[in-house]
Amino acid sequence: MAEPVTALGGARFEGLATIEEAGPTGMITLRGDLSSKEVKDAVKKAVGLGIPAQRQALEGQGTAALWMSPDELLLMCPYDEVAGTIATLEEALEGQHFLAVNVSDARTFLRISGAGARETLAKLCPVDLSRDAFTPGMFRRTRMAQIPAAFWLDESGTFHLICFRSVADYAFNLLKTNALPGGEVGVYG
Amino acid sequence: MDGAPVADWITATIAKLQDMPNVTLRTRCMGAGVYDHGYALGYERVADHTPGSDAPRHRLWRIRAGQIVTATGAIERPLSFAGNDVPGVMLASAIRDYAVDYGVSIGDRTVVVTNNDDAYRTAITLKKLGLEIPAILDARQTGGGALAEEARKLGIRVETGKGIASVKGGKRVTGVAICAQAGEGAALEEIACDAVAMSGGWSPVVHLWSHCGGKLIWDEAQAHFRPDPEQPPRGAQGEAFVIAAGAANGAGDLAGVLTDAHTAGQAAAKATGHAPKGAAPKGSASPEAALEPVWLMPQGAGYKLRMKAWLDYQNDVKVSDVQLAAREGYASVEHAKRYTTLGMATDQGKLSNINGLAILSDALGQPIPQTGTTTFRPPYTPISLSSIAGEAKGAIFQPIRKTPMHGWHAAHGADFEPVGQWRRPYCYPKGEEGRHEAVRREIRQTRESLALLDASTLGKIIVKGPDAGRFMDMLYTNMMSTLKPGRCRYGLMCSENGFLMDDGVVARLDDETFLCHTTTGGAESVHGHMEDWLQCEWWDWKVYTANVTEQYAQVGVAGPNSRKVIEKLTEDDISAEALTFMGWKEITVAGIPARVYRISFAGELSFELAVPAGHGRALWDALMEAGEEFGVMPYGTEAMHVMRAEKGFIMIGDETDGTVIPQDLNMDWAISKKKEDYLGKRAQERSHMADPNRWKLVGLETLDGEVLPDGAYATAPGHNANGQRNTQGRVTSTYFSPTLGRGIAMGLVLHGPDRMGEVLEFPTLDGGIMKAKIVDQVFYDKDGEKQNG
Repeated sequence: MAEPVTALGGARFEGLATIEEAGPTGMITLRGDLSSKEVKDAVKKAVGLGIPAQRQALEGQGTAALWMSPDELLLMCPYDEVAGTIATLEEALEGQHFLAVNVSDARTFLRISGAGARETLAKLCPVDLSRDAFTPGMFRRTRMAQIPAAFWLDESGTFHLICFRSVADYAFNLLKTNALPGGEVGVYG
Repeated sequence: MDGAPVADWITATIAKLQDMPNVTLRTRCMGAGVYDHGYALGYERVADHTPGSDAPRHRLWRIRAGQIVTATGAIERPLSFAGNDVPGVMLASAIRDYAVDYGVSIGDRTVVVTNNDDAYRTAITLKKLGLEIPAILDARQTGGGALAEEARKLGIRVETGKGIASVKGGKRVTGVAICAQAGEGAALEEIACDAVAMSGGWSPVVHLWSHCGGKLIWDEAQAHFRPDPEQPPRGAQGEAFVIAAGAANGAGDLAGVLTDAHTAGQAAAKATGHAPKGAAPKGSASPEAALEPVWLMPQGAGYKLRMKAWLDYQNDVKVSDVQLAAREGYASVEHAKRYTTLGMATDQGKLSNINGLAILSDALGQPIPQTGTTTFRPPYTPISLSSIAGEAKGAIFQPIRKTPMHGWHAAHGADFEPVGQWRRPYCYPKGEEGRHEAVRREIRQTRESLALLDASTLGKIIVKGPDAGRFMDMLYTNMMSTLKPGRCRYGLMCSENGFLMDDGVVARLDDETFLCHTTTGGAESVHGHMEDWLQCEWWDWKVYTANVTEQYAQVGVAGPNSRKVIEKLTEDDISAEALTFMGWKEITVAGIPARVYRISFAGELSFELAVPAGHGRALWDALMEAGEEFGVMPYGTEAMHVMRAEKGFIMIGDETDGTVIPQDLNMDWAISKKKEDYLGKRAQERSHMADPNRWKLVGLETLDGEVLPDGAYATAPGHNANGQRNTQGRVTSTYFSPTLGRGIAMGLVLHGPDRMGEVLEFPTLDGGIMKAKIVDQVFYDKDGEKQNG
């Protein structure tokens, strides 16, 4: 099978922030009782991470566990390991009530980095993105202008943003427009 | 201030604030509105003063504040005397600002007319700049305080207890006739002048305070409304979140303003958990004599003077107009405003409000606080629509949803139509071909050989869990729990009120898992509907759902050659025996893992292939290439619509409009009689829903083969209570069928299914009448043999 094609073909823009599409990434929606030992063990086996707390992102080696709702996680892994990861989850959760489904192709995955990253997102999302309020490891499902989006911040100051694949063009152009030189606000110093 | 000019203190303070890392300072920004929970809108004019720069012109700030301090100042009030609209009559503070801030002289000779001490500053300032002040007319019998003394010392003539009877001049002030304020306007003397500086006192700017419910009190001494500190705007916990400061809080002189502002700042700091320190700067102040309210000049002005005494300069509302409103019975200030248009101009009453309601109160014989103010609504002054729209223009005006094959469609001349936020090809015109020709060609090709439809936009929702079957039986009108893995079933979904809201093919993936296909527009709302029932009503049912619409690219492969083209690309068995009608299986097509569903909306042998979206384009390309020998072409949504209508299949949004139930569409076959319950069942049993007189679906065939107009009504004898023709049915879908070579339609008709062969009359917009016969709704391949290939 040929390589999957992402919606933006790896598009990249450098302005007040650098906006770039990440390559194909494995994503699995996992729904279940997040407080149960079984789910905890299954997530550990599948992506080597614990259960993220509310609005938290946990990152591993090429993996991530993202808190989506009280009974839903988004797990990330390399694109070609999705089937194996789902199989691990299904095996570990045998007999439990859960749902693990591949959504890798349903999403577009973007990175926003550079000095203006916070400000670029703050212009578009109703989220307090000040340095004190939004710290590395925080994850937020929110609205980005007119579309749903979710993002977390890593230790290096890069935001990782997920939105639906169908609106990839809109999302990219939106971020690009808000990172155009001249649009500096300077509110985050 | 602190012994230095105010301007120096301002410059130094701004510099100090700019250096503080925890301060965001915006000097070109207006507080436009204050809303619930400390939410404020700021309107920043970023680049109005730097045309051509890269910066956006305006920016809208959405601020969530712990505390808001409104230091919005006060606005000077005009005096109401005859001719106060003649060019050259201005507010005293405006004339002073022109002179001091901009070096502009409004006139060589300025008469000052006032009811307070502040206007004396204008006289003194102008005099010191070398301009003439022929007279200061102070309406107060007792005159002013220290400033009046200073004016007299400069040699300015000060007249107390005097006012303006009328202004001389038309296009320009040439003089004023002075009179006793206590009298009725008999001119005592005419004074030649070029400008009149008037001051009726100051009104605190209470708009931001008032936007979110802050109340006002009437300050008798200063004759103005000011914020009531006991009734501030309050947050969710009952806490005050707006503090008015300085002149906006009704503070008078500089010393008072500074003290009040300092207190306000400290209160805000405390309320947000800080420990304020420092002392207020000291402001010098000269003792001022009290203001005396003057709502009409002279107080006994007759009608001729009152009809020339302007309150609202923009909307031409005079004292006489408000008095007329009172006489006409407009006792409420809100009614009087709308009757006279007082305060309805672009300044929203900033100049006229208090003067107008004082006149109204006087006319009604009641105190001003009893009359009250009109409502203060945001924004404080108009803000640009572009600041609200923000980035939403051009390519990012709104999100356009695109399928993985969108680029191919665009490159091959697709004529797109919006379906929700998606753009779907309506048809693919070739060369000079118009839409109609393209649609006909696409239909012929599908019926005769092979065509492809991008069906990726269809909603796809996973429903999984031990209670999934039970849940599906509640969601759909028909029985879903009996569906076997590997099989598909068409189902109807109704709202709790019984109305048909969505339809689609359900595939059972395994014992615990269903995949529900929804309409393109219904994906999100149906998913929300499912979660609503699961989270709010059946929270103890073990069911999880996931919307996987965008995970898959889906291609409809339709036509007699559809199996052949897929067989070219797969080694899996999809023969009629291995994959029967309404079956599905997992296969590999063109090296891509796929689910293939053998379902048919066009009525031909057809398949739908679902592959991961990232491989959608590759699948499409492979099918186009493999289909070349069959003359493959893509078909759009219109061909899809026409072909389903030829087959008599309903379309959500055409045959349904939120008032139609499945029984209206003769779809009783899709309503399980065995199930105890499903969403909509009880509603459908109510008398109106079970009424045999509900219009029912039939086919309609025009006698001359023409196409019926969409939405046309069939008339019935007689007229209704409104004098309109009675009706007995309406068209829900209507097309030209290239397969049959004539117009075909479906419609809802009174007792329709029992009236086969009857002819109905449909009036057309041009006054004509089209006749159509009631027929079976299935126009093409009634026995359904084509879908078997």
